[in-house]
Amino acid sequence: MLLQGVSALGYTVPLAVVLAVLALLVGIGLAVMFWLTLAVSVSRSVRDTRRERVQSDLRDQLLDRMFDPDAEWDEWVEGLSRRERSVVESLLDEYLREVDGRQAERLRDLGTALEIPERAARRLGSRNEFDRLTALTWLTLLQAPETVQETDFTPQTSRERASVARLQYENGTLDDPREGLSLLLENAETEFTVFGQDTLYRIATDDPGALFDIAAANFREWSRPLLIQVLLVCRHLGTSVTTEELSWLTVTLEHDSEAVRAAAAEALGNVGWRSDIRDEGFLTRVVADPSPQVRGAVYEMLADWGDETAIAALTDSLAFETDTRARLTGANALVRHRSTLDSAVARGFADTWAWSSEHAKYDRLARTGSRVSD
Amino acid sequence: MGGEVLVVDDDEPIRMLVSHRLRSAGYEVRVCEDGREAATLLEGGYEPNLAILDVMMPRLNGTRLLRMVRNGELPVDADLPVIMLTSRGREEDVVEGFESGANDYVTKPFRAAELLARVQKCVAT
Repeated sequence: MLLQGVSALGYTVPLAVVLAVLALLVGIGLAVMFWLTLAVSVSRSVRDTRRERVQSDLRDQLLDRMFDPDAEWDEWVEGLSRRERSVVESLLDEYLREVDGRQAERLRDLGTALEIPERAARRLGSRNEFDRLTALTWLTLLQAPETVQETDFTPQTSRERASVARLQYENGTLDDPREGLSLLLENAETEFTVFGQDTLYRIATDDPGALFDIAAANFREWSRPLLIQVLLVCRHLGTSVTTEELSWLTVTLEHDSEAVRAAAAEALGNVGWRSDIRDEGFLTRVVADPSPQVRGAVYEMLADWGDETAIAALTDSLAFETDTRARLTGANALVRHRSTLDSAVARGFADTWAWSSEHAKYDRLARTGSRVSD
Repeated sequence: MGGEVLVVDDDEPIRMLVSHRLRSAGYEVRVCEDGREAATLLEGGYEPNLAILDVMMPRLNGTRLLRMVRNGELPVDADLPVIMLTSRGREEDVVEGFESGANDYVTKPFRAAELLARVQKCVAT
């Protein structure tokens, strides 16, 4: 039976009236949204057009003054309207990233004339993380780390820790790299953005030992993505890891996550010359990992080590490798170090070896235009 | 001082900055937004005294454009002096650029005075 009406507070309103009112409300809502969208679009379009109209002139003036050591920024900035100042700030943001030396110093003076450091200091107290990150970005571009110290700002998130570490690193105000790495990694739980990871890498290259120390003490507290990021950085630190304790790295080869185990194997690729990590039991254990992804990474690690023992372990494992992708990964890794392989050694993965060798030849031909001798 | 310089970079601020500096120093400057546009310009008979090429560009990157010049695929002097613009942290681009026949390179962010000095050196030789 169809509902005839809606009853409330002793009144009964016909269903048709209720539906009509609802339709009216929805219609009014849609109309309001339409006009609001239109108004915002027009407003932004007008604003962008006005900005574009002045941008070309302001860019020329900015470049002229940037190359003129006698030009005064204060005088120029005072003559600018609010919109023009905003456009100049956008241009400043672009050019501070592109120039170095005397011109960069001139542009930093312009930032001071625009009172950007003062505004950044105020924004560091904002509740909005985006505002705080914007302020830190400006202070990095303007090389003004003292502003952060003056405001007693304490970074709260991993992105802010990365920004403050980068600011101090770029301006040479870190006491030593360990201080920056501690800021980034101690009490950290979640992963970094690409910027944060890049900052971690840059600081770690100055003192790989500090990264290994901090990782050894903290890696159990880190989330899986953060641990993988640190392992990736370790992988790219090169062979400069000399006296550091590596046991935490070998421990991560036993991690529950196959992604972590694979990253650990790749990180160990640079330190094959360290006898303390490569006893026979270690090699037997890692090539028997149940995950094909990890075994592939282990094969890459062995190929990176490149000595006779490692290559023998790699070829022996490939002969019994059941997973085609892992076998191919291993053969590809091997072919990067060996252009030829004894047929007796390659027995068991001869087809894969032939495939990888052929690909390597064509890859080299495409890249350099020269053939590899067989 | 003087001469014609082709500046190829997909980054507008860089194009404006480089062309402004070079024009101030007395050079005639033509700018292109990517390698394909520059290749078309060179195919049309434009013969600069020097080219400044960014490495990373859409459609046709700087290294490929440089190889086209050196291989005689474009109607321009195969020995055209070329300066590559590379980003800091991508030093492998420098090696690849030299292997492809670049005369010099400048790393971004760069010093305008350094770029100008390298341009003057390349144009003079």
